[in-house]
This record gives sequence, structure tokens and C-alpha cells, in this order.
Amino acid sequence: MKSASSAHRLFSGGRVAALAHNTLRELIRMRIFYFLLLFALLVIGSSLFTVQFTFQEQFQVLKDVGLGAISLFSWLLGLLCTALLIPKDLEDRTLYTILAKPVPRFEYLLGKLLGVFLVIAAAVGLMGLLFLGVLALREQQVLAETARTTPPEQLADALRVVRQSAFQWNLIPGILLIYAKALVCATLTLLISTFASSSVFTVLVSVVVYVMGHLQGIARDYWLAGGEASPLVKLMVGLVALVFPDLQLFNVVDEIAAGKAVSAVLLWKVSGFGMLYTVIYLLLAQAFFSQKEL
Amino acid sequence: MKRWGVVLIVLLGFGVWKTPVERSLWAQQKAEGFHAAQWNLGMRDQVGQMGFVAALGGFRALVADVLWVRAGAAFERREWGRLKLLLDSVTQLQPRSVIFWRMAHDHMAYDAALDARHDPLEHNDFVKRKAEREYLRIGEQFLLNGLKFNPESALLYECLGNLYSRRMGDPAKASEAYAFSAQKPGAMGYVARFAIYESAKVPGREKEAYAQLCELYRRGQRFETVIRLLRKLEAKLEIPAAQSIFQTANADPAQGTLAP
Repeated sequence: MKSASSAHRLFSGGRVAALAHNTLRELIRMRIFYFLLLFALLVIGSSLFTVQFTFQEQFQVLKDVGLGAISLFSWLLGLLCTALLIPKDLEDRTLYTILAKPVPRFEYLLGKLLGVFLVIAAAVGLMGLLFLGVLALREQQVLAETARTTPPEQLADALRVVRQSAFQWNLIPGILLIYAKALVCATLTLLISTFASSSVFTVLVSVVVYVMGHLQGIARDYWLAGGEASPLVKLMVGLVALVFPDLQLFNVVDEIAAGKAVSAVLLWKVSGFGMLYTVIYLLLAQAFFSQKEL
Repeated sequence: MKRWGVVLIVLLGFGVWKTPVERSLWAQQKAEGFHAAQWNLGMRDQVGQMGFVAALGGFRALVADVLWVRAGAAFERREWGRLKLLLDSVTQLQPRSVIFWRMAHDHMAYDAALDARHDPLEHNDFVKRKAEREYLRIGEQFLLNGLKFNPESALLYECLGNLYSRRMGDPAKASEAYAFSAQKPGAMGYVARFAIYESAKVPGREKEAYAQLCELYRRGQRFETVIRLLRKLEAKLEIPAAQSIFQTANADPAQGTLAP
């Protein structure tokens, strides 16, 4: 018969899954999905607001608003859920109960983060379905209207143009990349929260990091191009380029909404790079959390 | 402090590794047609500080839509100068969106140009014509710039053909634009025919156009315009009645006539 200590494994997927499941349940109980009502209002509202436009403009605006809102809400959701994770567990004393058991701190962090990832996945999935549903509904309305008002000899061409402007499969990779970006941002927020003094600090710094991440490409190009800037400016720009992730790499939805398709190679490369960012930031978060005095 | 040092070293080490990878991914995305927006200070004036940050922060398409709605308001108030500035910003923010280029051209080459022609406050006919021509040029420029970003757009080439044909009176350029449109994916069925119609109006191309129209006729595309142009060209080229396509194709020209 094995002793209790020898049966205990250093890393257990089961423990991580239990923590992730618990985090998911906890976040659902916090009624965070109410924001979906706001999203629905935004998407349906924009589809009604644009009826005065041509059908091509309507679809363009609907896609821009839909994808933009999914991007905004998934980032906000990840940010707020992750920023509250550790402070809330400290406040409820749940953290002490968990860590008093033989649960390594890394498993705790990983489980919590996976729980947030699941919440974001559910939110992005629901928003994606709602958005594509509204788009499909509007497409059917426009198709019916076109069929009613177009002369028979021009009907095939007209219907083709309507279909080309509405739903396209390239919207799906766009939504996947929005999800990948939300994961990177959530992990960055977790990293910040491991050394932050309060949730407000975490949220504020995360917002700044989000903005800096979008400007990182400009800093990188400026730094690598050399130029005549002072050494101090070069040092600052170089640090921004090295420390912050390039979030613009995930921002391809603007072109996707305009009808551009993402190649499978690019999709995999960007998603893979996103995963790498996530792993690195998680390990750095662990470096802080493992030594944190609780 | 030791912890901070380790984290910073890892972060910088990862940064040194990731920078060239990010750069190459960025270059690949640019090569595949992404990140095409053109940033400049004029755009910042239009969108404001917050809008500019939002556009840089991943909400470029949304900012473009807000400007588009503002452009709609400027159009209703017939503020053509302001409309042009807003359309410039919209198309710079979303250059891959064909519909924005097309509508920008429509507003300038049709709405603004016609409004300038019928301006009740301007009594000098020369000034009216000059203003109209300028708006037509702006409309044309929107299409030409749009084609730089969307070279495979059949719609933009078709609009260019319409502009040269209906508004600028240049059948040679119109024919060329329609012919380009016909070669692009998703082109409308009629644009190849329109290229021939325009070609028939170009002095010196009558024989070539006649041959192409005869081919259309033989293939059964006996549209009213095809028949009318064939008759016109036969008279102009002095083709004997016995060699007329209507005789040689062994068909009744009125039979199976379709809409233009």
C-alpha cells in the first residue's frame, strides 16, 4: 500500500481541471454573461440603424460592429475576471484553504487561468453565434428583397453580389484570432495581478499594457530602423519593443470584415505565437506568485 | 529584488528572440494584404485624439464606420469639402473595403459634381463646369486609389468604366476599364459586352468593334444595343447588304431581342 505522500503527484491534470471547473462555475455565478445583452443590443441595434444604407454598407457596418464588439468584450471580460481572481480568493480566504492542501501554487494559477479561458471561450462562442445569426437573418431578408425586386435576367448576378457581401467563412478565423488575443491579454493581466497591490492597479496597468501592445510594432520598427533619436529615446523604444507583446499581429479582423481571407499558415503561426506568449507570461506569473507572501 | 531581476532577464531574453519573429509575421501579414491603413495627421484631425487611439488600439473598422456615418450627415447637408475629408479618412482607415471606395466615388463624381453643375448661387457657367470637373477627377481618383489596394475588384473597374462612359465621355478608357472588370473574379455578366459597346464609339476601332459585335450576335446575344450598334457600324463601314451580319448569320434581327 502506497503512502499518502508517495501517491501525491507533483503535477496533476485532475487538480488543475477541478480548479478550472470551479473558477468557471464561480464566474458564471457572478452573472458576468449579462454583458451579452449589451452585445445583442449593439449588434441588433446596428443592423436596424443601418437600414437606410445600401445592403453592402449594411453588411460592412454589421461585420465591423460585430467583430469589434466581440474583440472589445472578450478583452474586457478576460481583464476583469483575471484581475479579480487572486484578490477575491484572498478576500474569501479560499486561497488559503486550497494552498493548505497539497496543491502547488503553479497548479492553482494554471487552474484559475484555464477557468478564465473557458469563460472567454464560452463568451466568444456565444457572441460569435449571435453575430453570425443576425448576419444570416439580415442576409435572408436582403436576398428575399432582391429576389422580389430584380428582373429575372439579372437575378443570378444580384444574388451572388448579396451573398458575397454577407456571411463568409473567413469570419471564423477572425473570431478565433480575437479569442487568441483575449487569452494573451488575460495572461498578461494575471502576470500583473501577481505583483499588484490592488485590483484597481491591475486593471489600470493592464489597460496601459493593452494600448502599448498595439503600439509596440511602431516602436519596434523605429528602434530597428535606427534613426537620429537620442540614446535615452532609443533605450525606451527598445524596451517597449522587447518587453511588450505585439498585439497588432492579432488585429486582422478589420481586413477580414472587408472581405480578406486569412491563410491557414498565417492563422496557425499567429495562434501558435499567441500560445507562446501565454506560456511565457504564465511562467513569469508563477515566478512572482511562488514567492508571494500570503 | 532577485525575483524582479530574473523576470526582467527572462522578459528581455524572450524579447530578443521574439522581435525578429514578430517582424517577420508582421511582414507576412502585410504581404497578404493586412494592416493596409495609412496613418497621417489629417486623419487624426478627423477622428480626434480618442478615435485615433481607438483606431490604433484595434478598433480601426469601428472608427471608420463612425466617420462613415458622419460622412452621411455631411452628404445630407451638402458639405462637399467636409465630406471629401471624411471620405479620405474612411478609405485610409479601411482601404481593403471596396464598398467605401465605391461610395466615396459615387458621392464625389455624381452627387457633388451634379450639385456643382446646378449650383443656384453660382451664375458663372464656366465656374460651375470647372467645379463639376474637379469633383469628377476626385471621384476618379477614389476609384484609382481603391484599385491600388483592391486590384482584383471587378466592381471598382466597373464603376471606373461607368464613370468614363457616362460622366467623362471617354469611351476608350471606359472600354479598357470594362474589359479589366470582365477579367476579374465575380464580374457581372454584362461588363464584357459593355467593353465592346464602348469600343464601338472610339474612332479608329470600328472594325475591331464590329467583329466583336458580330461574334456576340452569332453567339445569340442579340440585345437591342448589339443590334443597334451593328446597324450603325455597318452603315459607317459601308458593309454591303449581302455581307451584313443579319444576312450571313441567317437570322431575323428582331427575333430573340433582349434588353440592353
